[in-house]
Amino acid sequence: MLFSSIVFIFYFLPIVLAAYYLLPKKCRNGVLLIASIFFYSWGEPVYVFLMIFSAVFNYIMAIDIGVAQRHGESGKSSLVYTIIMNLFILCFFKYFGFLMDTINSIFNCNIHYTSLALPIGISFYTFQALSYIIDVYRGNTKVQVDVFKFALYLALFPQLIAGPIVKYKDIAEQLDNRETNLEKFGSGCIRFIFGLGKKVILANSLGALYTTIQGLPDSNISVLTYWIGILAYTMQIYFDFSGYSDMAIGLGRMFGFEFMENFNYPYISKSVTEFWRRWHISLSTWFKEYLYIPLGGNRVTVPRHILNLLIVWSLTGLWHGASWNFVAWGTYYGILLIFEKYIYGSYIEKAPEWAQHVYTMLIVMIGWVFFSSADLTAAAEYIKVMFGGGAHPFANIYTLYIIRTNLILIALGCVICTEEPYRQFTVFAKRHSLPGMLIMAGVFILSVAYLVFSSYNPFLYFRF
Amino acid sequence: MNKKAFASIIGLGFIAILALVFVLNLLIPDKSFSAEENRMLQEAPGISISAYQEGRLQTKIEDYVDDQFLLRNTFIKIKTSSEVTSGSLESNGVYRCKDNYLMEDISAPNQQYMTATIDALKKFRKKYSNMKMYFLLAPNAANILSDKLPATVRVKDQNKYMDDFFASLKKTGIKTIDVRDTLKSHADTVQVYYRTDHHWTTDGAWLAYNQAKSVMKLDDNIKYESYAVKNDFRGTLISKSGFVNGMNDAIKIYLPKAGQKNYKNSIIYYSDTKEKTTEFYKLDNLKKKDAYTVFGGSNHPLYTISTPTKSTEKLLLVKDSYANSFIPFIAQDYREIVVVDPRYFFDNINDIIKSNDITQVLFLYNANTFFTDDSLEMMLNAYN
Repeated sequence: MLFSSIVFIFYFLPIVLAAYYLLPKKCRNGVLLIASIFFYSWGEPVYVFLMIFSAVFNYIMAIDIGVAQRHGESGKSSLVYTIIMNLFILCFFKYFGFLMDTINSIFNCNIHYTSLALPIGISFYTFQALSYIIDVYRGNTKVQVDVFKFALYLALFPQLIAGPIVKYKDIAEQLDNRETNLEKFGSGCIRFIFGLGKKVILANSLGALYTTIQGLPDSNISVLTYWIGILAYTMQIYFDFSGYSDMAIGLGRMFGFEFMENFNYPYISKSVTEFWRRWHISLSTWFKEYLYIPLGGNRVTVPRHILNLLIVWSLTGLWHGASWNFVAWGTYYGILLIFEKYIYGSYIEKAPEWAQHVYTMLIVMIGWVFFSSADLTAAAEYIKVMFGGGAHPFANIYTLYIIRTNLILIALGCVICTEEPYRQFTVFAKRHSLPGMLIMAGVFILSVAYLVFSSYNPFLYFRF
Repeated sequence: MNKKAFASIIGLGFIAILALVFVLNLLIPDKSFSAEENRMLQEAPGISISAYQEGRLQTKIEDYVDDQFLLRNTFIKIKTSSEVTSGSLESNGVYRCKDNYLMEDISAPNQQYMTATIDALKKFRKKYSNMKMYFLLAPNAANILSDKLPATVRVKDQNKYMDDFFASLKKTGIKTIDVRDTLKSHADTVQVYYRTDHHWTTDGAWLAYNQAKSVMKLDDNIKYESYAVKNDFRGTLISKSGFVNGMNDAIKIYLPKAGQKNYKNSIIYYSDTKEKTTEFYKLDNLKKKDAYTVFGGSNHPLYTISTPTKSTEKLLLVKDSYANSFIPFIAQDYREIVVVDPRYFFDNINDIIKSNDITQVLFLYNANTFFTDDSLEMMLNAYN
């Protein structure tokens, strides 16, 4: 079930909210756990058992580590075993096909295999489980003795399928005790509605534009059209992902939880380093805390530091999907971060501000070509056209058509990528509360209209 | 108002809306049919564990709640209005054009189908070499009225597709009836296509008929008078695109001027519904959603039109719906016309030809449909 669906917003959510607030307070965690498992089973009626297994397994292993440490042992062997099991499950479901394809192509053989459907959200909840088990080992958090509470942490539906990757230690206390009040609930609603609008109105329309441009016949391609295409994708992925995070954070607040922020206007960054402090924050901090620092971080020799960065970033890439173009995308960022750190970072800082923005956005947009393409060949082809290497005109009548029909969408998208509109809205709503509420209602109604329209499916039997 | 109060009111409003919509969705009875979309809506599915395990139930429930959602049609209008406001010119293959025209995009020929169809026509022509055969391929609005397309829109070159097709037809000996110039030269003074429908108007069909007359050497001289029978026609392109701002058109029918002795009434026999009538026009259908069905109703696989004409020729008319408004004119030129729509006709065409003593054949299609359709080829080859 997607947050951006009629069934979620108008059926699932009101029922869960009613149960949560109308039943006695002690039932609240139970309501959320049942709702979360039902929510997951909606999309994964079979793999829901895998998630339950993962919850029980990590719950038991954490107790095992806790007991071992109480007896004066380190618990390291249990930790290693648990990490390997978690990664094995993740790899088995997510990377098995990729691994077999790679083996087949390297050794030029043809081993048959049945590729498995990827369980929704497995990358997210596996990383959450790992954060718990590692923090228990490190003594950063207490062992959770209540299996239902741990299962609730892992399965909590607002962040279950697309993050933020909430660390157990950040939320442990909220599992026992969290404040709910009308104001917090309302701020959750505001967050949810704006997130919904980003996803449904902006991301989906920009996505449709990118898909059209990507599928253009050769005769219609032009350099400028391809740049518009990747600009549309750049905005789509931001609005899609950050919109989803906004909805997650908003829903969390409706039930009293405070999740970490996941995006902080990444496209206003002035360097790649800054971009990664603002983009998918919960993932980059996860990698930092549980991989980069254990590898030694930057307190090592320069060659070792470079190696650390490359390992972390190629794995970050691979986390996004089982395909070489994701590895290339991650490594690309690893290399650029190394360059910024060791080679030209100081020059960038001295450059005029606009040049810093242009530099960063160019890197990011080219990065998205790798990310969005089906494979590396397609990505190379796309980049070739963008830089005039494809013998296509700079612009053609189709470019005009694209601009004529999408200018408002693109302009709106560019503005909303910055922090200004939301800041202005907050100031405006303080002074003129009624118009502010009408804007909220407008965004919500329009989002619902877009959702309803997605099922508009005229049947033209008279299509003689 | 401070931030806290604002958030609290939004919170209360959100709860109120969710509760209200939830209750209303439960109370308002489900609809089974959408006239706007012309399809059955998903109704409440039966619940079973196995359907849930396979994910089928979830899909059905999602379709159900989407289809039955409160004020569904209003929300659809809100969305398309918002798209139009932000500059959209196309939706579901329909362009929003000047003078309130909606026009379908031009379809490129399906090469595989076209090769097979031309081949089938060649064989058919050879088999019945004693018959005169004609092919009227009607162009579409986006071709004839291309000056009404939005400035930045370039559709595919239908003229080239048609030229290629006519060239290969000529080799088979089937005579071509090319009405493009006629329609184009009259387009400034006569409305030849509906604004919101993909068909030509009766005026357009009349122009095409006059050209067919000279090619087919037909010699009736009936005088007609046209009457607007509906002034608020909105065609299927409104539904297809979802665009709300359209403009009404008139549907005209042509009736013979009074006192012409040479005008003969026809008897039409629809073999699928076993209905016998003398009326070409089903005026009741003007009240229906798709008022174009005033021309002979919806699609019939096979029907015969008998007219006591001087001519003793018998015509096989193989057609799509563009022929529907054309048929009343040509009925005055043939003692009998057997009308076949290959998309719904699955019997042996050779039997039809033999049992009806067919002497001439006319194919009448619009280019968009014809170039993407393989039913003609299937019909011609089915029993060979």
